[in-house]
Amino acid sequence: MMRTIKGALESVLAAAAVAGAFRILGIDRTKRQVGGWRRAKGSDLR
Amino acid sequence: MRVAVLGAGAVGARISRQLLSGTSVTQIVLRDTDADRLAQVSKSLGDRVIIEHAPFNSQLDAEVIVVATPSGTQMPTVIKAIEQDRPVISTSDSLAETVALLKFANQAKEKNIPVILGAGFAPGLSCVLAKHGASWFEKVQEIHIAKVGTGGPSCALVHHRALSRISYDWRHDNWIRRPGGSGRSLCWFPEPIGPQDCYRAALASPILLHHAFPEVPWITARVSATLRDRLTAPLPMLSPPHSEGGLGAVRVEIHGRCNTSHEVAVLGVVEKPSVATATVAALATECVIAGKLKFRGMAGLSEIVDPIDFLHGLEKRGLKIEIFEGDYEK
Repeated sequence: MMRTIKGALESVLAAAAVAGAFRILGIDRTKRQVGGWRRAKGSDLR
Repeated sequence: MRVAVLGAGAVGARISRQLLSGTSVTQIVLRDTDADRLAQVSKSLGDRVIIEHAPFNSQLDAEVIVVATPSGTQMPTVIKAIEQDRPVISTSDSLAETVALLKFANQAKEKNIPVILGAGFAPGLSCVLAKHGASWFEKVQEIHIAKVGTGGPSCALVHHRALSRISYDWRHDNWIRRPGGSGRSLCWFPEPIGPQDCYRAALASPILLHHAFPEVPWITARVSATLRDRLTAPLPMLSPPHSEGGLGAVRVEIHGRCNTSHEVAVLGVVEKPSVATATVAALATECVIAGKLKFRGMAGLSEIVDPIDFLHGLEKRGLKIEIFEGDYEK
């Protein structure tokens, strides 16, 4: 039982460490948006 | 013109107010089964509104019927309206109800009465945006809809349930069934909503979009959700839904061919879902009254109204249509 709990905790810590390392390196899953939204003009609604 | 609005919730009350602000509607019959809600709403409406505390599908004396009752409860009323030869506008965003209602399309066509399905935020506004955006392409290859936010409590309940049910995406002449809550996709909505994780869900948009665009090979719809939304979706709602949701948004991404190159167009609107739904439904009702419809029969909103006129009408009523210009880093 203790071994199972210890194993689960180790997995969670390992996942957190990997995620933290990626974050420090500036690698994340978020794709960036280049550009922006603008209000539709008259010519867009023709 | 006498119009019946069924349901005096977040959407129904607003539809009534919007219709009263115009001149085409002389009287509104506002019906609900909840006496307290009717009493509350009647205070803010003038003397052109007749309040009725009665079951939704009991006999109605009106020339046009707008059904704004909770999604999943609209079918008997819509069928009864068709039987009585009354034009009807349904705001339902329920997948099962939309599929069931489409089976009565022949009946509506034979009787030559307008029946508008999905006259809401998504489906509804999203489909009209898709129809307009599609006109910029020679050939449309993909349509992807994403939605954030919910309107009143019944809308929140539909959102909650949709995440635990099977979603339907149209891909290469087949309906692809996938579990709701799967298929995370990061979608960028207009500000202040910004990026949101969106997931598959049992949504009516692909059904109505496929009806409007039978030639487009890939149609999907997603809805934003948090981890808690997805984990608790199979359970009954743990806390009572809010009476009115906050700001929401709809995003329509269209891929297609234009002058031999592959292009992408993205359109969006930010608004409270109940406000946007009421605006869309009220404008659709005015189109029915004015006879500004492409044909008479049952169809989704995008098929039956002229998208440009409709979008101009929405702009006049304060909905801001936005277009994304730029690219996404891979």
